[in-house]
Amino acid sequence: MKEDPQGFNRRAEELLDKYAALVYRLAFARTRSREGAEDVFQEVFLRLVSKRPRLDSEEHEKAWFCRVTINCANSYWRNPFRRRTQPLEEMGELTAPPPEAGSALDACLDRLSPDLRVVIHLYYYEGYSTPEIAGLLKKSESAVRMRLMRARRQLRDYLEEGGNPCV
Amino acid sequence: MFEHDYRNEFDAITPDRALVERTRGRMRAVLSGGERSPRRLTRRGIIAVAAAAALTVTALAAGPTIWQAIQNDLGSRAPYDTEVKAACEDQGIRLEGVQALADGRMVRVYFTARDLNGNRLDETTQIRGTLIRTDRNIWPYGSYSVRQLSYDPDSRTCLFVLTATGRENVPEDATLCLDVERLLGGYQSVSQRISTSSEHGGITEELLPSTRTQEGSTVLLPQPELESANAAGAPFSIVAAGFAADGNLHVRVRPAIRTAWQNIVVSATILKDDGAGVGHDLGKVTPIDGDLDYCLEGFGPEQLSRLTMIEMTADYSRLSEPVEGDWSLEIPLQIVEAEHIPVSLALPADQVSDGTVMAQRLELSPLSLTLVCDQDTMYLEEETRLRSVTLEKFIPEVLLKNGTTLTPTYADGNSWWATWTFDQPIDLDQVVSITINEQTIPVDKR
Repeated sequence: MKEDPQGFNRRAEELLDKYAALVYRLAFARTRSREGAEDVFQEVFLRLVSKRPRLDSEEHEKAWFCRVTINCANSYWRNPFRRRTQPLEEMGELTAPPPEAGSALDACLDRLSPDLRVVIHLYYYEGYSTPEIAGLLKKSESAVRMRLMRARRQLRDYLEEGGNPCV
Repeated sequence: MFEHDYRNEFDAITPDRALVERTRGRMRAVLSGGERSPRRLTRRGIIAVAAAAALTVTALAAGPTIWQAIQNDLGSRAPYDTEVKAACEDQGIRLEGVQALADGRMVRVYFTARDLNGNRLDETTQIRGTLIRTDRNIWPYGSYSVRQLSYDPDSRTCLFVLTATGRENVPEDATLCLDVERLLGGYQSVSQRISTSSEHGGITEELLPSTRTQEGSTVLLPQPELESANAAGAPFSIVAAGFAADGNLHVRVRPAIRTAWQNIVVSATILKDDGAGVGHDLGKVTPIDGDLDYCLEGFGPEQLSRLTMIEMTADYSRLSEPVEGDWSLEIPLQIVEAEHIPVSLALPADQVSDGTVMAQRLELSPLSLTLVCDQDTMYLEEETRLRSVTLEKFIPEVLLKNGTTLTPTYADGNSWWATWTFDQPIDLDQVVSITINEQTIPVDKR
């Protein structure tokens, strides 16, 4: 893609359409905030046009977007000056409390560490195997299995009680 | 069940069309050369693209004063440092990498900031920025900091040293990227918290005495009990907090000093339905009689039970205004080689009843020693908590062939790793053994 600027430009926009949902969902899984997911989303696609990676296959494309999204989401929280706040209007439940569908699951996911949420998302939603996740995260397979085990343990209430909040 | 629910939930999470189109527009701008891809996250706004072409320099350009300061700081580690060729400019300020020193676990990078157009830098200048590694997805460092080493008024140049300690072994070809977004002299920060349950100034449902500005904004009047409770000499303090006559949450802040620059943020921690606390900025700000009234519109007394804390944070400088911009230094590292020594050491957990944690590896370089534990042994299988172990207390002793025993200084660590640095670089061929927690590991040389 590097040697064909026009082709790259066209391809970049196709990739935006193709991977928008994947990137946004993974970013949301990591940050648990719409604001964070939007920031990460834009960062990922700007990196695409900035770095112009050579993506030879669909499998490679998907892995690249997963890897860069995780990278950008990590950077998002690493910024020590980022204030962990969100506008009041995004907290609909304050003024119009309960309960939206999935709130029990949300409660459980909110309690997982970001690293565990990423592994859960890649495993349960994107369908990656533990060796593949290990490759994406540059972690050992045992470390990934450990994270999955920890996440499942923390989700135990939800898993065992069929959707009851684990609070 | 979980997988099904998870998939259903995330199927419904999609980027809205406006976000996609906004991103498409920005991608086109980058592709046409109209916008440079930011190294920082986008919500901070696009900084005007300045002349940030990749400029290479030589370390000699640093000048003798800077050079000497680096040598003084490096001390006997100087033979292990390497020259860094990296430079960038923005806002009339030029950043240049000068020297770097790194092994797999620690890194020191020396870089300068020079004001090309004026005297906006001085010996109090600090930088605000972030450090990332450009080629991997994970953050390899446990912590990092930047401090100023010297200032040369003749060349209007500050010398900084960045130090970072790694939680993972960094390979030889790693490249760090330091993104700087602000330089500021005389930076200070202060904060004040009010708990909703505190005796003095605790928030109640009662509407507090208020007034209206000429523009029609409702603001709190100062509360004498809070005014008198504030520490004398505090540069910023909360003088009123609670619900004003408009039914909204207000906080009134009083600056007691004259500043060249200030950034005050007031936030409230509010519980969600699931009990998690989330911070909300009080976004509406109204100046009133030298004070500042902050309001969280839409949050009234009926929701008081969700409010747990109010916090005011003030960043400020009495000396100067910040220079904000977009500087990015890419620093390729040349890693001093380390030996990885497999070990099987049982280290007692902090609570005797938790048993032991197994250390699995030592990483020994001329500059540092790192102890790495097997994370699997830290997890209590039958419980939901980890074995806690304070590795810092297991001070290693390094025995050399000449009979000298070295005790390196603890630098950084976490639950599963700890790094100590040597005051003087050591010759690995001279190491006979390493003793940790009264267990001696022979270092087997070829």
